[in-house]
Amino acid sequence: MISLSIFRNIYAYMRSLYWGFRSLLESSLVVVPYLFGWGEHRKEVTEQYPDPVSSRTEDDLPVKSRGMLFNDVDACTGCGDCSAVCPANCIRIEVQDQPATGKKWVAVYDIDYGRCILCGLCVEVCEPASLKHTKRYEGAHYQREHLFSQFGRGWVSKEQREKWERMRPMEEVE
Amino acid sequence: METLAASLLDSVIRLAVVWIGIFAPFYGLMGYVERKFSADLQARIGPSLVGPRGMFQGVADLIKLLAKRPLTTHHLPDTLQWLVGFLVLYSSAALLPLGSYFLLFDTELSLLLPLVFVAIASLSQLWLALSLGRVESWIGGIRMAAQSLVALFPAMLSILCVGVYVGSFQWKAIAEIQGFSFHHWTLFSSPFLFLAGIVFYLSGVAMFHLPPMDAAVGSQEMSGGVYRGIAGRALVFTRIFRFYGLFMWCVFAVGAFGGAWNLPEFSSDGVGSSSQTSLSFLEAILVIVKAFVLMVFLFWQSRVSPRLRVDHVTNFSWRVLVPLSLLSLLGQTLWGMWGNG
Repeated sequence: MISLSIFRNIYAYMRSLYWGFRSLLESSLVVVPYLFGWGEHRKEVTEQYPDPVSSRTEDDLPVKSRGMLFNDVDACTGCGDCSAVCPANCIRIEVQDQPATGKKWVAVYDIDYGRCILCGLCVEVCEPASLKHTKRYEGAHYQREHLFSQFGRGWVSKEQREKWERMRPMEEVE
Repeated sequence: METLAASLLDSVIRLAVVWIGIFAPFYGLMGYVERKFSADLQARIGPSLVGPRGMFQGVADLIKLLAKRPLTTHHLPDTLQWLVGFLVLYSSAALLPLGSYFLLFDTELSLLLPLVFVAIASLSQLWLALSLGRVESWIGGIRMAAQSLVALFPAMLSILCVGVYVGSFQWKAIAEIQGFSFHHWTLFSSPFLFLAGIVFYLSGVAMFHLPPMDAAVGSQEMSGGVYRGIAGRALVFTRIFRFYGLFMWCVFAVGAFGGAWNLPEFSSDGVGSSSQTSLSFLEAILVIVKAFVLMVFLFWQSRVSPRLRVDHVTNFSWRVLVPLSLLSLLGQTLWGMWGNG
């Protein structure tokens, strides 16, 4: 009995060695066609960047490619869903009430690309669809401060707002 | 006195040729070959910017690394480690079996000396790790030394197989018993020596932390292990040091198992002393070409295998390499006793 189990152990050991060798051999042979570029799918898939810049233009990028964000502030309601859902906490949005129109005035809308991970969650939750991905993907800067994208309209004082209120009927008449 | 000075000068010249004429260009070449070869295997382009087909990318990288950080932050442990490392480096260059001319130093124990170098080098790494005063560095250093020392056993046993076959550990004796063609190589002279050759090669991969068994010196160890904080110029030395380990091991493998520096028979008949010198260069080129093949084989394997964890490597050494080397030693001894040796 004892001698049998010894042989069984040796057999199992040799078998595992054989399988290790065989799997290594198989994986080694998988890459050989890539080495010589045999077949259409085994050519280089990477592209030259940044020098020379790839022949692809922004229009050649995939439909769902997620580049830098753009917020159409005229359509933006200032609801703040994008800021709430952002996992990187990179959107800063501050709004002022606009009693006359009932809409919110988006005073500050800053996106910090130093934090943004371009996950696209903010675009998905945006109800008026004002926030969109562009196809622009080059965003390197020398200064940290330049990493901000600002779409806000700026703060408005009470006097300025009253002035606008007075101008509105005149515009409607014209 | 004059003869001593002359022989000293001769040794220095030979060492300089080995270092500047053979090793340095070979290092540059292999750096390019590894990157381009890996890129081809992985459907990438690889280096393409500097020089024709990116051939001088290594030079550009070297200049960038050298310019990166001035060598002002010298600490005693760092210096000690480099000192021990370079001592090992320079001393082992004297007994690289690169041919009958470039072999400066050949004793009865030549074949066992690389193992001593490995032991010293791993000890120096352990010292460096212990002197850094951080727990993660201590553990990293112990991991590196453990992997080196575990692989030392099978390497030693497989070298003993060659000793049993040849009857000596001297390079000249080992070279004499082999020949240029395949069937005269130690590797193919018996099945047990074939096994011993494979074990020797694999144990070197583990010993010098070469890919795919390089988890001990991987990037996660760069930020937390022995090599923590090594950047810029120091990184250049680390890379050269590691590549030298690979180079040395491949050359030793060629010398012990792969036919050494033997040229075809007809080439050495009736040549003058000037031709002898060119023949010795031919010998060195032959050894380098064989080492090149071994290295490219390793690059190929490292691109298709996942990086092994340190405990996997030590397990592999104990459970596979050590039994196989013991088997080959026993088998080779019996093979020789029955009149095949």
